[in-house]
Amino acid sequence: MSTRSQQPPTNELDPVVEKLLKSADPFDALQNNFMEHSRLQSSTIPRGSYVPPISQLTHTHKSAPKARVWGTVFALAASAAIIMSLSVFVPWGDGAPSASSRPQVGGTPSSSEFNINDPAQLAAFQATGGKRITGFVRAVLPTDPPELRHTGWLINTFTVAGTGKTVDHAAGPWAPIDLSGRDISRLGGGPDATDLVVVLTKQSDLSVVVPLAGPYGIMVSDPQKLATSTLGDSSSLTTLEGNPLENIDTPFNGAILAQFARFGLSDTFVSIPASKPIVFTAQEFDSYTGSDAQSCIAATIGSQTKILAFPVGATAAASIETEWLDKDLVAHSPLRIMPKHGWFIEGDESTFILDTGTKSDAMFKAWPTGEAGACGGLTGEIINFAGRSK
Amino acid sequence: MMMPPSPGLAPEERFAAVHAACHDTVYRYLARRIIPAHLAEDLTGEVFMIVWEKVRAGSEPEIAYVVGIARNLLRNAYKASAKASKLRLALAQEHLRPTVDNPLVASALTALKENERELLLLSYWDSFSSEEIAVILGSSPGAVRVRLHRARRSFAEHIGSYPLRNSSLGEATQS
Repeated sequence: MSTRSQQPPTNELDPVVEKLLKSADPFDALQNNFMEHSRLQSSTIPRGSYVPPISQLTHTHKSAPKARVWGTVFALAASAAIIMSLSVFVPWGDGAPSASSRPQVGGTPSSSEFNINDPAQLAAFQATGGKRITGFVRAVLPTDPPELRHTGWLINTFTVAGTGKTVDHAAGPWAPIDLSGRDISRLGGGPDATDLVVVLTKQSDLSVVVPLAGPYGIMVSDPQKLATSTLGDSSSLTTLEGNPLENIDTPFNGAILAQFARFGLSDTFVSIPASKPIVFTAQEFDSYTGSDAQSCIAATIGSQTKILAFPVGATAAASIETEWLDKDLVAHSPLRIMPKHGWFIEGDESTFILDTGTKSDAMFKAWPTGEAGACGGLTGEIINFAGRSK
Repeated sequence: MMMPPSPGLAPEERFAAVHAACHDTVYRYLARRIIPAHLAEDLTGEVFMIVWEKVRAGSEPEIAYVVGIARNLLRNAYKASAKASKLRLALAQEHLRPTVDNPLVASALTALKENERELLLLSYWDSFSSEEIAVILGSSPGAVRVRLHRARRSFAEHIGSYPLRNSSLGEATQS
């Protein structure tokens, strides 16, 4: 119960009208259970194990112990709750079937299994019409169109290797993907609860993606491994069961996945100040991504260091050149910053790389906060990034 | 309003105190304005993640300030575009606002200006005082009282002009 004082408002309404208005309060006893759940869950925020029902991200803090297993349990429960709720909450409900009663979608996948890091097998697979898809996977949401919800999962394709096509993400196509019978416990942990995946399929029609049967039909990229490894050492891809791929010395894996991978940002802010932001001119930017797969950027401005904070929901992606394969993958790489609304498309003004290579990028606008922060060993005042200044 | 931190308490303890004092009020505030419940829960979580950051930074936000955070998140959510996050997308759907069953009240609330409706609901559904509403809206208590007076008058006028006035008023009296 809230301990807030319940001061009645100055009552100038007719008592009958006041009673009428109060009786129309839509908060009813049914919501007490949800409120109880919310109270329990949000009280865990300092421990870093809070998992929102919709976002399904485990929120961790540097000072808090990680409770990944607990978070995964809740993420799965939340996923199931969302899917189940589709048939409960009008007007969303479309009678979405449970996983066990899903209809068969698409064609029958091949039963062959192979590791995509075997070039000969991959070439043979593609020669027979096989495709390797790279994209993001996420659970369906109540707001997704009903016709996309029947498998419970969606994929946003970036590239279809072997076809020479790169999908235009401006169209933002999400297609159903059938993950029935697979271990989904590793999904839902990326920024915005999406995961970077590689899918093998033999379908010609990708309106509903059916991964090849077997452990290599769909593989998920581990951002923490990208943040802490070099391409020469290991791949970030694992099967959904968590078995890492080896022998990564082939195209289409580590480097490209690293560029697609997204990382959360260490310093974020919510409220946009009413005041005008200040223009800063940076002489240097330092990017850093820690072993927790959280990224940050420090700007050198004169003799000072400023730590950049970004709007909540923004993500960072490493801008990695292939000749850097022997270096740390993303730890000190330039970062491409994407607001929540952005995608990897050429000319998309919503994504940018902070770099002093061009003068325009060295100037940016930000709101000083007066608070101290740190980024990869550098310390300075946190400033809330408003945008580039041209 | 932000209070200085309680001396001697760890941030986790101070968060627990703020959370205990504010959670239910924040949740109810959101649940009255969005459906279904897990959207309200998600947004409540966002609110308290911000509260946690405030507490870690040394502040101890009071209830009206915390509800102000919730209000800002909710407003931003409703303004979200089609490319927004999953939570924002869900919240951006107009039909996810709770409905008022009583057609008389629904009609009168719909007829009000947005700021009048907000004042009335903060006062009569959420039971905030004029001082608290002033913090939530970033206004002064005096201005809130004046605007609330106008909102009450407008609401009463709309109620009075509704064709089914007598029967609905009768139901309200009996409930």
